[in-house]
Amino acid sequence: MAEQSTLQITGWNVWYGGFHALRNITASIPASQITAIVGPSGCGKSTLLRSLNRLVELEEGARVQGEVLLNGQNIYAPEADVTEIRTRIGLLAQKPFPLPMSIFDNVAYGPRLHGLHRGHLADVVEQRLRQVHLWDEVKDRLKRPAARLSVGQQQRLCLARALAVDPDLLLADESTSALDPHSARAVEDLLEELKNEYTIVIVTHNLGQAERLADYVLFLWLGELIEVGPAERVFGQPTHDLTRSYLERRFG
Amino acid sequence: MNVTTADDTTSTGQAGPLTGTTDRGTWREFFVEHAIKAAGISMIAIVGLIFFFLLREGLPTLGEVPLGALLGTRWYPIEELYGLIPLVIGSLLVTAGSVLIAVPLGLTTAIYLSEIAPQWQRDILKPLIEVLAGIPSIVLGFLGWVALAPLIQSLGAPTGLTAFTGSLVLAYMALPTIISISEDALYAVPKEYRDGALAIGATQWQAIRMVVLRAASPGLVTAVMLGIGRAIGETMAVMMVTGNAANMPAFGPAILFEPVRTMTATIAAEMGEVSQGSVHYHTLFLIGILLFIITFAINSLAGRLIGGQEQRRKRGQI
Repeated sequence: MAEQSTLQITGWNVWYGGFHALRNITASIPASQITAIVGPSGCGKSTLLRSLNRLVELEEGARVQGEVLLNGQNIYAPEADVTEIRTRIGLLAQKPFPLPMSIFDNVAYGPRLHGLHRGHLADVVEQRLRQVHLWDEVKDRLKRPAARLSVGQQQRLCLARALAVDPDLLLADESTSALDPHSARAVEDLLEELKNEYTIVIVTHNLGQAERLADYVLFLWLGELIEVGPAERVFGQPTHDLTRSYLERRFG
Repeated sequence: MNVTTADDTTSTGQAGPLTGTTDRGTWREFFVEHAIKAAGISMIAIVGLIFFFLLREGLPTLGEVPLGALLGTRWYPIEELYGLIPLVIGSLLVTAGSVLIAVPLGLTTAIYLSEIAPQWQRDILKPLIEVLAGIPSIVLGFLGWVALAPLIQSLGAPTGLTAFTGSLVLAYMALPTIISISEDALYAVPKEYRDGALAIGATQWQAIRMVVLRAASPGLVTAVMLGIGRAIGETMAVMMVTGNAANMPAFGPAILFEPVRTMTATIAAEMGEVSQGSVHYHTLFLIGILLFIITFAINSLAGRLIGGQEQRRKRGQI
């Protein structure tokens, strides 16, 4: 992708009712790299990720404050078109939830929704299924319900579905945690391949995975951004005690 | 082997089995097991007897009144006219009208409740719907008589007691069933389905229409069928507001705004006046059989639709 998508988070706060889930987060996410958000459970990793495509505001009682700039445009600006923003940002969820329709229709869902690729939808579906290395496994049963695929295949299908609307940014929320090791590795490899074309942000509990995949790391602790930087530096020489103890406990 | 316990002193003489259960335990097992079995069998027997009784009292009509006369368009038992068609049409009109009102209203309310309404509105609306479900049907009939009928008459109908009035009252009765069951079905759709659709840039309505409704469809079908079931069997409230005229309605655009009489209302109104064993009496039972068949057909259709959906879901086709 010629255009390098950048993401800048500035003074970002999220509250759920009275609970201050994210406190004044400021970070920039580099283009065409994999950024991993790591930290202990309940530290706000998923909330931060869901802030990036405005899913967070659908939670009951959620309030947000601050700016998230995608290619310089504040996605929370009052005049911003939320569906258009979500179209530019793909999401891969923790568990694969193929839509209740056929394999083909799952991938075609987004393009149809937005009137993209009219007339050559079949080509687009094939291209996306090839991109996630699913085409050879499903090309003879495209009309079959997606729910019949294995969980690993479903997750790759969901990735193809997300890619089918040509997003700039790809978010993955612990997307391999529900998969068997083999399928998890397949998804990891895919993300690795895709990072040349997309800016990718992942949330993961698995530090091994973060080490394998991430170029850039955000470490969150109780809703605060503790440490941020290139993965090598954060994993190799963490500057903050909290980061160090978190990494040590996990590795040690 | 368990050591025998003091329970054995109250033994009824039956030898305990090798597992070491005490006699009292065995007896209790025996009693409970047979009580449950008896309850189950008596249920079957009762249904069988009801059916048998219905057939015994209703079928003789077919020998007493020629089929052509039963299919006639005049119900006037005093002159030995037993045409069932106006009653069947009356029931169908009222039921169809109520379904047309209750299904869209019920489904949209359920969608609003589960997908759109903020929590505080949900907290108010859901108990209100429960209250609506608890209103005795006769009270709704009363309201229909006092409030709805004059309103409908003021719209220009010759009388306010029409099929449409009955439909409105029945729709109100079916609504709580339809709303609460479809709301449950919608609520059971995993949040990830919505997120998945929204994350691709679907609007909320697109996500609801293409994903949530589809995933909830078996539950929605059940809701509608149970609603219809409730509507078709209802008697008293309908009797009060439909005008009770066993005439053939004039087919035309205003067909819903004419007085009709339903099958159920006919039985309720005339059963007390007939002499047992008369042709009229047998005919009323025949109407009962007809109702039975209709309700049974609706229920098994619903069962088949749901069963089919469930099976396809289990096989992963949805």
